[in-house]
Amino acid sequence: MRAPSASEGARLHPAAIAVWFIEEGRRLGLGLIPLLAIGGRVRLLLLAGLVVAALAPVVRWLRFRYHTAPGTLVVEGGVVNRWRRTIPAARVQSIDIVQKLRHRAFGVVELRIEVAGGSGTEASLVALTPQEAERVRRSLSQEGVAADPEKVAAPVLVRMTPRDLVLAGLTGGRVAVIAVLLGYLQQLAPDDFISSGAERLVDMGVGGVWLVISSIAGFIVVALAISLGATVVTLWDFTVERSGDRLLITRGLLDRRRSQVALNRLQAVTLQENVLRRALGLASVTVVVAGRAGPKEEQHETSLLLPTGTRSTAVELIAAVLGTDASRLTEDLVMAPRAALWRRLAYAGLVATAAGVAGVAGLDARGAAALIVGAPAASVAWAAWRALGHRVDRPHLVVRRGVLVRQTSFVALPNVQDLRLTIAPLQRAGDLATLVLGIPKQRLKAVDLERTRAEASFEQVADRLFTAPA
Amino acid sequence: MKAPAHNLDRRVLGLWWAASAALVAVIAIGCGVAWFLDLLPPPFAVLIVLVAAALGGLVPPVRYRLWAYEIRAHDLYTSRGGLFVTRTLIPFDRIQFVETRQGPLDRAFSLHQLVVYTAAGQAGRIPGLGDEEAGSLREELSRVAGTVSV
Repeated sequence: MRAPSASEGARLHPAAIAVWFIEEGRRLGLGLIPLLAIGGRVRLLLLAGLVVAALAPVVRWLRFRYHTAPGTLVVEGGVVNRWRRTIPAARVQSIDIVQKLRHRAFGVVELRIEVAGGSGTEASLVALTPQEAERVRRSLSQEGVAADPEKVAAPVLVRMTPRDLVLAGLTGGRVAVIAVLLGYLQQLAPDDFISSGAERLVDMGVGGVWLVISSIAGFIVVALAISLGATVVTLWDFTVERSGDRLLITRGLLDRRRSQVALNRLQAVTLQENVLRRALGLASVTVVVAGRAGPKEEQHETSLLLPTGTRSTAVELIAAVLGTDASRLTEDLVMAPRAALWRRLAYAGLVATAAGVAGVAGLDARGAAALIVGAPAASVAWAAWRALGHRVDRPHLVVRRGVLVRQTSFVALPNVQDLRLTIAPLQRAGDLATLVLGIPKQRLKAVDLERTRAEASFEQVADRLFTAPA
Repeated sequence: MKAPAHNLDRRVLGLWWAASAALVAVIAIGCGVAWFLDLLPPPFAVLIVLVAAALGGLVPPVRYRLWAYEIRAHDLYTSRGGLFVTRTLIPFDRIQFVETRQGPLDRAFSLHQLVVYTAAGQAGRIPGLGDEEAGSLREELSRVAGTVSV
């Protein structure tokens, strides 16, 4: 039997030339355009460069070929250094079908394939007709041709309406931070500070008051608008469908994207509750997938499973994805012992003392008023302590922490790769320890367990890890 | 929880002392310059260097005593540190690959470092292993390393 050869494979859609030209051009060209104004020989050189830049994608397209065989994808290319890559379907972590504006202009889509452990996208077929992308995706998913997901009714797990997206945008990370800061400022400032400030503003006349109010309001409106706009555009028509043992996630208004992740490739699922959402009983859900690469700003979005929903919806979704009983997931978490609170208060005290000392040194005795930062620091310490929780004696390990964003992570035992137990000096004083679960791309910390409990869990989880069915 | 059974090769003490000496030398030069520029009174400069030298001399033996590793039935167990304690357990079937490394200092003392990777990344590192010990550990761990796919 002959090994499948890519040389007899297919070329990308010719639109790939344009897509590459645009992508490379954005990287190189934009910075050079002002130089055209210089004229003379420089302009000649630049024009020559532009011609090369225009020709390079053509050559690249001529050399680029791909070929699907049952269970593998072979990609071949390279202009100077020829390369050839074989991607076994069994190693594929996720497949994304992306349609950015530049693809849309030509009616094509990009297919991205991620493999565990890679530092980047392992294979990117930048321009395919939608039908061909679907064929390649199916071939790599080892689905029968008949099982066309467009026709088979897949159970929809999540569908965001525009109204949901507005809610998600209004309660997103950026907005939450602003809300918290405003809340703190309001609580921190002594009454007379506000009134004396107000008096001064009154001296400035009505104009002064309006200036302050409108600038604060303007700031908030702009922040809200940015958060809202970004959320609605990137998450437009966000849908999660379950098709057999994989999830299909579709989203985007300008850049359409369709991601596919096999359920058994989910390394961890996290319930995210920022302060604002928690107050409203809302939460979002993200997943950790090994090998998912790409720009930092895209990573957050690609890992999103639920932009926002009620907490119970979020927990139900997590349970459905993990294939377990929702009621057992978040109940009975082991809370951190009181010593963990003292440890946090000690740090808060340290912060307050440092602020006080700095205040006195910088000003005079009145600078000691800086000690007041001890109040918010202590309340943060208390909130951080309350957020701590864990449960490691069930099939799914649960770890919870976080003040501004409370994160509850769920990991199936087989996904835990290694274990660590760490004891820092202040932890020793309080008989505390931290248990660290290593999973691909992340280390989940169960912070400040009672030391004896941590040591027992360390041993028990290790034993269960080995006997866990692979 | 029982400490792991094996200590590092004693030569690692020499390595750590050499590293400390280099660090102390850098601190001494820094203090000398500060003294020269009148940024630091002489007694302070001398004190800093003395403290650094004392720590540099005392820390390696303590560190050596607290560093231990053991190959158990199903996992690699290491424990290190006094002030900041870290214990690591790496189940054999999660090991992706194992490598031994030798930096210039390691080579000077004919020692090796053993580094173990799981799908979560670098999961453990054992410094200060002799030629034979490092080789046999690497072979053994590679033999039992898992075939669990991520």
